[in-house]
Amino acid sequence: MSATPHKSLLDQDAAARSRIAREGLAEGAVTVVGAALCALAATITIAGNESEYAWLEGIARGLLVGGPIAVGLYARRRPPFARFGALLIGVGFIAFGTTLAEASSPELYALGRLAGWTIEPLIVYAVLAFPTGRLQGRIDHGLVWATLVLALTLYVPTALFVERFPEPVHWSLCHGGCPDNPFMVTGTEPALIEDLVRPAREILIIVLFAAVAVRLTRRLLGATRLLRRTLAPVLVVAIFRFMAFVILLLARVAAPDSEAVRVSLWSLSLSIPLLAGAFLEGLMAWRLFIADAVEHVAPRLTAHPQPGDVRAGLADAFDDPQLDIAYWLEERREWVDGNGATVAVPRPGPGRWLTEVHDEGRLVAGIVHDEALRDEHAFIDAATTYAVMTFDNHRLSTEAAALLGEVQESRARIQATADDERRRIERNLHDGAQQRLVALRIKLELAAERLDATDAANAALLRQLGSEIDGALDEVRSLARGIYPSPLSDRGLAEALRSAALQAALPTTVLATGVRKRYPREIESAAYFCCLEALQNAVKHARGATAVVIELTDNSLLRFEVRDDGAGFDTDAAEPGVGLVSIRDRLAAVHGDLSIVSAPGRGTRIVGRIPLAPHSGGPGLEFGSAGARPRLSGPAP
Amino acid sequence: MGHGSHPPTTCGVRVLTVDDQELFRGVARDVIDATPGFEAVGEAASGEEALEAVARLSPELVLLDVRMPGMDGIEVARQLGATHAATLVVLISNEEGIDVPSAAQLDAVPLVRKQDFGPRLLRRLWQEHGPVA
Repeated sequence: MSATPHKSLLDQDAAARSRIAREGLAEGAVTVVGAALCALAATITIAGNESEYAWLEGIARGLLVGGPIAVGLYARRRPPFARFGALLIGVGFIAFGTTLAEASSPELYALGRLAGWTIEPLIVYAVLAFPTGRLQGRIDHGLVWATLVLALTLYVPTALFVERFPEPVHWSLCHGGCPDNPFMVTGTEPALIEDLVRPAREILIIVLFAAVAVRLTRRLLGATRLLRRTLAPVLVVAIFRFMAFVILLLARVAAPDSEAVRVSLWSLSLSIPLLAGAFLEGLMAWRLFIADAVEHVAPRLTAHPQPGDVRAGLADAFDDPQLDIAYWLEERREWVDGNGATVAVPRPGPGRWLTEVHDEGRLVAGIVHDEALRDEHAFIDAATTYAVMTFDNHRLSTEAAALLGEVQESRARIQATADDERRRIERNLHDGAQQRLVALRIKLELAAERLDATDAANAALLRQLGSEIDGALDEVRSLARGIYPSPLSDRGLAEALRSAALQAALPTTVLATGVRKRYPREIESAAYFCCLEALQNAVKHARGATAVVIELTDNSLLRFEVRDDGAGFDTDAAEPGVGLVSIRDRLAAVHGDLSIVSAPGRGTRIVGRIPLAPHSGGPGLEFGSAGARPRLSGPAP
Repeated sequence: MGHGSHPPTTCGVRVLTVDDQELFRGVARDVIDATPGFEAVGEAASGEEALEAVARLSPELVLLDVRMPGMDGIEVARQLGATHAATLVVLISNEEGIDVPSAAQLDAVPLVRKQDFGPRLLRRLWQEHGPVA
């Protein structure tokens, strides 16, 4: 079983081993380099820093680099977040670039400031692409592109025209004053920059950041519980950073030396480590949620889950109400739902994902689920396991039902053939041997009549021969009756049972009201021979019985009851005799069932029921409902 | 198969034999012919033919086989009881009474075994059930 295209296990193993080795190496290198950059960033910030907050500033700078790299490395290890992890590591490395702004060299300072501008599109990307690392929809792509274009048009190129970069800024403490811009190519700074470009870009960046916050909020509100939990901390920090940004931009113009500037600078310095922490918290919430869901889905889905249960169980546990499972039936070349109804080819909508489930290389199901879960192995494993299990269960039970159906049909055919043969033999006896013996008997009587006047002795002899023929006729009649009673052929069930009642060794009454005169032959035979067997059972085994009642009723199913007033028996203790077993078999052949109600001192009731509605055809490849099956019920309590 | 060519006469009890078996109709004819005071006026091979023949021939005695394909003897006897109450209908059967419980529901319709049929039975039936009394 797998959720991926089938490969030979050896190939998969070798490929996986080499991939794991490469990834391990890369991870180790990133860890070492990241740690070094983190330490370097802190050192650069602390070295020559005479501020009373030097250590604090160093730690903040170290976290700015180390936070995203550490969380990125953690995310890399989990398949659903691998892309996002890489993105976050990138944020960490560029964040190190901003550390250059702490250098006293004007060139390094300027490079550090440029890095500070270019990191913003990446942060927007990371916030919007969390947790999968993939942007969803045009709006998110548009926002990232807009931020990038803004950075590359109204921010980075101004480095050629300005005397100094905007100050103060969170990327640089500028102890002892920020250096001039060494990249300035013009003699004087164009007024356009100060009057138009700077206000325009600051308004645009605020609008873009606000749009990102709104977008994130909307996504969170429309998300599954899993995504809500994951996104919530990120949204909080993103809004915090946005507010700090707005305050800095406004306060820098209005009151450059105010407390508001200092607070917003600190807030912005800490916002990226905080964002990394929020990502970490979101990922932890995700893991906890998935672990919880996997734990909760198991008890809901017991050994033989119905397809509907599987869907509901997974949808509930993973809080994805729209989760849908379609099963692929190779025999019918179509998709069906849990009830076996044909459904359209499963297609994921926006934010949804289709995972195909394969079993031994064969496609068995398609699961449409929250796109966020597309790489979540715990979910995919649980969902595919249950889908395959369900599919197998139902395929097996369908096959068993088909076999049972065939057995059933063949039993019914054998019974019908046997009954036809009995009827034919009885009819032949009646039309052949019986008629000839009767004719012979009458001719002897006629001859005797003629001889009466002249030869009384021979007349008597002929009549004696006639008596011999009577004996033979009695035997033939008894034989025919045993083979197939003529009333059953000629006048139906009730008449045949009355005839049987007249011949029974116990006084027997037949009650048949509201019963049709004729039923399909196989039903008449089954009911008749079952009643006869039950009647013989009563005569043989019901100690102390004085009377038997055979009652027939017809209420969309033909019901017969043979009851006696004998000693009864304990149905739990008694093994059913050959007679009862043959009754069950007879009834099962016509989709009927049998129950025996008895207790010591309470007589015995043998009740059979045969459905009369046209039976649904042989079991096809049905899925879900079991259809009409013979019910071989045991003795009733 | 009705033998309607016999003209009505007054020489005996007019008997119609109804049976799907040619063999029995033949021996029944022999018996009736050999029994003074009885006259075979016709034969029918099915329930439907029997009703038609009774209407056409007005027999006084109908020997009616119980077991016939289509409309059986019991149904014919039931209908004749309603339309020709004066006609004596006698059910004859290979089977015994226990095999034909519904025959017992028909009042005043005797059921006899075919094997017992003969001049003596024919006379006795007419004496016991005919309109003589």
